[in-house]
Amino acid sequence: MTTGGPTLPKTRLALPEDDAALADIFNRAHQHLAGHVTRSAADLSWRVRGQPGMSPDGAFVAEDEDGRHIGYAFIKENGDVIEFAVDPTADRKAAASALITACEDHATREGAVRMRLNVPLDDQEVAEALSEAGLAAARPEARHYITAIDPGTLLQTLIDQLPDRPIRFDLSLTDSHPWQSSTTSIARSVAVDVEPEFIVEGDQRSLNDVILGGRSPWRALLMRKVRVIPASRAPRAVRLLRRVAIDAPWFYHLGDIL
Amino acid sequence: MRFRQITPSDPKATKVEEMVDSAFGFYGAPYWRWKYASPEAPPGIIVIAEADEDVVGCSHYVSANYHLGGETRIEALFGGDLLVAPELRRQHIATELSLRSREIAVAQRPEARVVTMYTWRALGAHYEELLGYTRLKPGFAQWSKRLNWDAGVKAVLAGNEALIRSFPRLETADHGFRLELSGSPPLDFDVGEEGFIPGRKKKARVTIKVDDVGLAGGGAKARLASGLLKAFVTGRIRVTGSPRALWGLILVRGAYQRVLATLRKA
Repeated sequence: MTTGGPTLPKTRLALPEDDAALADIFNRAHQHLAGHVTRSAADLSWRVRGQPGMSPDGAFVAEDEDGRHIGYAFIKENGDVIEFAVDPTADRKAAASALITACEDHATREGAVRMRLNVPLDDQEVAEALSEAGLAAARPEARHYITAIDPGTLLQTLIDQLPDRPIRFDLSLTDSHPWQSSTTSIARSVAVDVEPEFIVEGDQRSLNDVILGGRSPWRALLMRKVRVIPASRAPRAVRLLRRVAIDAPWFYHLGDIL
Repeated sequence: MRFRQITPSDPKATKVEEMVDSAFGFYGAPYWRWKYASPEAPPGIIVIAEADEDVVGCSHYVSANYHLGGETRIEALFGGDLLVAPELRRQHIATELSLRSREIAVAQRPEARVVTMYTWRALGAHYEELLGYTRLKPGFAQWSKRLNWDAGVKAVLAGNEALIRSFPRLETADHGFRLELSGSPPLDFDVGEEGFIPGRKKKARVTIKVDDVGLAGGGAKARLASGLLKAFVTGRIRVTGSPRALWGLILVRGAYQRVLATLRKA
């Protein structure tokens, strides 16, 4: 099947044997984003193709002149585009235009009354393509919320993934739940019995805000939501919190959140 | 009230399926089975609230290894499909169910570091206030486009014609109405004692610009004039037009709300 004008890439039905290439496109296109599961071919098979309402003729792949996969889209019979990704190195606007045209044709044929999809806020090229295709952007009707199960364990897990740099400090929770420690010793490449360099103290909400919610550690300190003891170590503590804080935009496809 | 975990094959799971099906429509029972009972799915956690052996609520979690940007990964629990039987709502059962199900899920998945959920704003405020969740900055926009629009709108309005015409003071209205719903072609109507007639001939005109969120807030939920006013003030619904037409809109606001709510379903 070919869709779009002469300047648009060709689209065709995406077959299961394309899935490894599609998963690769997904992972590269979403590398800078947070909150999604890295895709594999097996994952696409269940997570996307296996969803109720998803039929094989709602799966599209766009190809460039050399037959290279440059993007894909999966659309359900009700018009929900549950996954949409374009290769970061391709002509992204053209690929997105071709894919959304294929999706709209399919949804119209299926009798859907609305087509919708989620697009990262920083994806200007895809946004332009969608706008030109007559789609309009709106705030999501729902919001995304997060909480650490135990801020101390979370911090340790994040610090473990940083490039090796010795650190040893304590995290003190002022409103710990029964399943949490009120004080957690956090260490990397330093024995936990070594004296901590500093203590970070705060309540759950404030620590969630700083580690997960993209709020400034300095602001939390100035507002006395978080304390560093001794205060002279505040610059070092803030540098550390900024390094581990999750600042990538959270992004979900419709297929992930429905 | 008792809270406990069940498996998808538990006899009580049928009741959970029924609750999910009645609440979520297109994303009802088949979707629930796919998400929690298919062999390829990551093991889910289903927690029910029981009163006198009846299932009166349910809450669910799925495990996920989240990519966090760069090379960072984290084990997470994604919560959702939280429901309480309609006749038992507003008794804080959802709050208790959220807390207890989270405890069960966390005990089941000690490797998890965060719990996330994606939910309506009103419910989310509750999570922030009572359960200590943090709201993430939205990282995406939802793009949409109405399809099969003309046929769908005419069919929906025709089906509600009698209801719309029954609204009081509709006979006092005498203006044209243009609806500019984002992602849709503009719709023109004449508003008068005959109701909302597609096509526009009358001179005095009111234009409503609204997106899907505004349509939900100002159309489906704002049953009172104050609700409609709030939708105007917060910018969820923008109205322009001649003073005469605006006054006409206020007089027949009930009919407008019905039309907006009806079109939301189109």
